[in-house]
Amino acid sequence: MTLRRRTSHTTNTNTKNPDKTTQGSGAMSSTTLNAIDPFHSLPSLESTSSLPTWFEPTTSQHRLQKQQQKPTGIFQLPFEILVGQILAILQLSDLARLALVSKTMQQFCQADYLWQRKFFHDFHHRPNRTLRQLGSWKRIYQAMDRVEVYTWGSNGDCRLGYGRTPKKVYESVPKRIRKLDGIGILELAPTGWGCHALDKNGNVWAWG
Amino acid sequence: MSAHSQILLTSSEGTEFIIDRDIADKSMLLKCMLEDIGEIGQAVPLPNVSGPILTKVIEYCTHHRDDPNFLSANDDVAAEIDEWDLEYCKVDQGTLYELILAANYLDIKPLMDLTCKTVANMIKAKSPEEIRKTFNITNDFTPEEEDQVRRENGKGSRRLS
Repeated sequence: MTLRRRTSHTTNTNTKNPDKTTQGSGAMSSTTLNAIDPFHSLPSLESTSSLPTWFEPTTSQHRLQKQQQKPTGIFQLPFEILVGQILAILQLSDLARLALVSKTMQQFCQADYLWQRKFFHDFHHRPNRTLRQLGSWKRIYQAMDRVEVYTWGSNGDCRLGYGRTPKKVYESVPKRIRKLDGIGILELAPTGWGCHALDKNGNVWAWG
Repeated sequence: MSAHSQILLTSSEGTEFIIDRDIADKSMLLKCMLEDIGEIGQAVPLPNVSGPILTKVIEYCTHHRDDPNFLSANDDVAAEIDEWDLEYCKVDQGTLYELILAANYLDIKPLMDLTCKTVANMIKAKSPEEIRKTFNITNDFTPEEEDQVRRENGKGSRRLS
């Protein structure tokens, strides 16, 4: 049902486009606002699907309609381009400032699609199953952005990754590897005698 | 199919452009089409691209004609845009958006990356007021709403740092 509602919104905006050009950009953004569903208003079931919730293949007719009037404002760019290709390459600090610009921009900065694209752009990786259970892409991104690595067990040959612990060989409580903070570890492959870790830039770290 | 064959394109107004095959090949749309159907001997209509924009696109493709890493050049977002490209993107916003749409339609990834990066640079490191001015956006927040967004941002960035 939600899906149908959104589709009708999209066509709505398209047909409204011609008179949009005569109005100021403020009015423009409010019309565009109708077409936006911020991610938190979506049912969580929908946002867990691997397809971007915003992605709807545009038909050639749609494209022609869009093309007929020349784009003059940034909001007249297609959503997939503006959010998926332009906003997704911005830094987090820039996005935070952008959200303060106007309501439409704030909605864009919240869009699930943005965080999905940003995730793939920044981490070059697919989120694993545990991460996907978080639901929205923004939460997945946040979780990935402040990832910490914990290890426990036997620390013979420094295989836990935080150096020699002379007093005790066995670490029974999971302990954080501080050296890996902020590096963006995506995956761990413990081998028993040590560990390999893959970071977001494609480097492999090994210890043990 | 010789490398020196030429392709005839028609822009949305019906203006005809003759370009070399290797320049047309920069566009994945044209490349795949020409590979699929071979030489057709008649004009390829591009109803989504206007004449001036097509000229601009051809200018880009001609400049990068012999660029060996054409397809991988702009992969790195942090990389500096080279001087010629920077100069190329010094156009008004309307033209820039039209270029984005044309690059998207013709499927020229480096041009798409370049133009999108240019727009992103117009947003980067600017205050909300400056962004509004750049893109001619009206602030439709009430002071309370603005405060709330700022609070949410603060919460988010603390968690993100």
